[in-house]
Amino acid sequence: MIGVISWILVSKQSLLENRNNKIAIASLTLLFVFFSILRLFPMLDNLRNISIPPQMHVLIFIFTIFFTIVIFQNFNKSHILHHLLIILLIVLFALQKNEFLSLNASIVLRKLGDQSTNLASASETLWVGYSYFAFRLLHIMFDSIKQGKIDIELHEFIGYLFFFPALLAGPIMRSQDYVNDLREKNDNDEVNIENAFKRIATGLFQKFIVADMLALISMNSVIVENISSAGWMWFVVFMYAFRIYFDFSGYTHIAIGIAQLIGIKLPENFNKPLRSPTLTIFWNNWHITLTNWFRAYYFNPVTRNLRRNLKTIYPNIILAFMQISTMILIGLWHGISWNFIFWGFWMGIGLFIQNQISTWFIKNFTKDKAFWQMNLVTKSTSVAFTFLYISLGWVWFAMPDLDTSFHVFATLMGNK
Amino acid sequence: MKTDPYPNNMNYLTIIIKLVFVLVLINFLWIFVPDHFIGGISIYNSIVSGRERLPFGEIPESSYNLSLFNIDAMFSSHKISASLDDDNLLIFLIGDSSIWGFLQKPEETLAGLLNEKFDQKNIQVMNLGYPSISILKDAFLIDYAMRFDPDLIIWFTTLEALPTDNQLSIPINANNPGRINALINQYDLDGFVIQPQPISERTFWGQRRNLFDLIRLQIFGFLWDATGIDQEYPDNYRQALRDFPNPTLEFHGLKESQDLADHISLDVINKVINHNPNTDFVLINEPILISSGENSHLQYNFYYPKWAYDSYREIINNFTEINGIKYYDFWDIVPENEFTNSAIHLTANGEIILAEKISLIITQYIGDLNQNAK
Repeated sequence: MIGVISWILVSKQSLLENRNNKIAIASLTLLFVFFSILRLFPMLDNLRNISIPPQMHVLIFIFTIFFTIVIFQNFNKSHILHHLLIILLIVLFALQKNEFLSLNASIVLRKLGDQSTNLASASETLWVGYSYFAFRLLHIMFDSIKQGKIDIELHEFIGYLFFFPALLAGPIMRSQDYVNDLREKNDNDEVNIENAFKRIATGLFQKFIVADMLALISMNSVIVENISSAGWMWFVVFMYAFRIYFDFSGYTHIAIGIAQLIGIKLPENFNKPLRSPTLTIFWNNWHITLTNWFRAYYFNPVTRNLRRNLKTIYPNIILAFMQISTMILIGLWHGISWNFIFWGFWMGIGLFIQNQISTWFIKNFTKDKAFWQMNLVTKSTSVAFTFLYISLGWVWFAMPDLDTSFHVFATLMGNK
Repeated sequence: MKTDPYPNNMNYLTIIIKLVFVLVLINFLWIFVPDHFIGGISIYNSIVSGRERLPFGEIPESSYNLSLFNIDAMFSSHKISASLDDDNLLIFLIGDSSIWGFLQKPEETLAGLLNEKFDQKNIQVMNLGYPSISILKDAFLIDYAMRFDPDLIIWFTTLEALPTDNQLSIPINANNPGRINALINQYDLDGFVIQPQPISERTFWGQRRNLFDLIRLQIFGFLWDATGIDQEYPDNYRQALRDFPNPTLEFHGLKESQDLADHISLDVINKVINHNPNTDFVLINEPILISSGENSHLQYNFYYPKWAYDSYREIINNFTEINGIKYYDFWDIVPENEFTNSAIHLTANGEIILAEKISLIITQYIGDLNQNAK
């Protein structure tokens, strides 16, 4: 329903009047109503799962919102509904990413449905693939506010939101690229099957052979409690750095390969990030689509805005603030906890310091080259140092709480 | 000009035919790869430390250990495969999970306590216990361990290890049919049927699980070395049964009126000892939980009806006497409260009590050796 509402908000009037789209809206609404109402009829027990149905007032509430939006979307010149939907998506995001909030959401939903709150759990309100679903939708909302109504049919829009190969681990594709590929396919059904299978095979190998093997010996909350030597702690930390790369890269290869079979060209998400000589280059090559997303919708516009409006503030302070806050937001996208905030801060401050040192070095010593561009030794040193910094950053990312993270750092430094 | 992505369907057919051919060839050739070739490849004792006991684990992710059945890989991962000091007196402990040290840290096991006791005395005690109660499994491990040239083998057994009927179904025996068959032939063991070994199980496909386990064993080597952990040590576990409201009066289907001696494989012990004359053996009847709970006058513990165990003690005593086997009966040396989750698993204190007894045996053995040397 969120998808349909969003499409109504962002679509051109001509698309809304299109008969096919009207039928699609009616069908989707009917399906939603059908499955909701079905649960209110005990005689249809064999068609539904046996659970207490949602109360009628909840359904009425949902439909009131739905029809209000449908009716008032034409008067939505100031994008109030867009902003409300963005807030809703962010609130839902917070509910998904924080265990305390998820649990309480479960309790509230159970109360609304007259169900036992004793059985409430954080996991039951989780929504598979929501992170990517929300980012696709947010990107459409932001673009729609900025660039006006979009020209995407409802079936294309829903297909884009729930594009299954990339729902679990990305990459995040732009809606227009998806639609172009989808429409192009009719003219050119050439699918590079060989390459698609090569990508899938590479992904399967990276994920299920390399990453899953590395998972056995990489840092996790149990292993780090059992290790008391600094050497072995460094070992499991480095193994985690490799593991997370192969895991994520493997998923991406599989997603890109499957999408290719369907005729959709997903963007690349990794470009040899572990060989990056600087943090900036690392973040240009790691989860590329996510960083691009934040660059496009947060870092660039907010930085421009701050520079325009806060001219008295030293630009480097704005830059530091923006780099750190961007990385903290990326951290929060993974989960709402202090550990992700620390991870974001670690990466943000690292990016800022590295940028300042690079600029200073070029200005005072090499003039035209960065330190790592001087020779093989400086490049190798830079790659090693960047890998070290990234690996240490994963400690915040992988550990469940700050105490465990500090324990890892203490052990790494030789304090048992 | 566009290139045809499907230039020739025959290309795909050729690829598939070649692929099938290579797969068949690899599977066929794998049949001829000797077990010890693959099992002998190990990172233990070189990149990481050797294990204190043979690999066994039910929850690999938290115990950094796993059960596998490639005996070469098992021994390769054990510290026994490190270069041993020839001047040391080498003592092997053979037995079931109680000797392996279930719920005990390596230093708390019998081997760990004995090594501590005889530290600086040129004595090295190796834990070769394995968590299966089977005399045939013991024979299998002893036969393999003989290549390390032990001076003394202290062999712990109990009645549950002896019934002839279930020896071949014990996982480590059942998964090594070729080697168990060779053992049966070599030692002329009576009462055991040669096991079929389908050729398909020797192929690469048939061995895939073993290969995977072998790789996992190597990977867990890093965490074993890093943590010294090789099993889970739960804070709480279910205590061994002490009350028997419905006592079992049969042992492996045998009633008191039947002759237990006809159904147990004591002869395996004799044949193994006779087959290895250059090594000294001591046989121990291991401690068991003697319950004082409900119906304890009928049943000692989960495993043993009283009549069966009493009868066994008499049989093994006569058997060792007749065959001249050095034998000690330690069945009742550990108090009831020093058992953990099974009628044979000892607490740390229980292990200390047993270690005291065994250390006396070793001391006496050394004394005898010195006496003979003079």
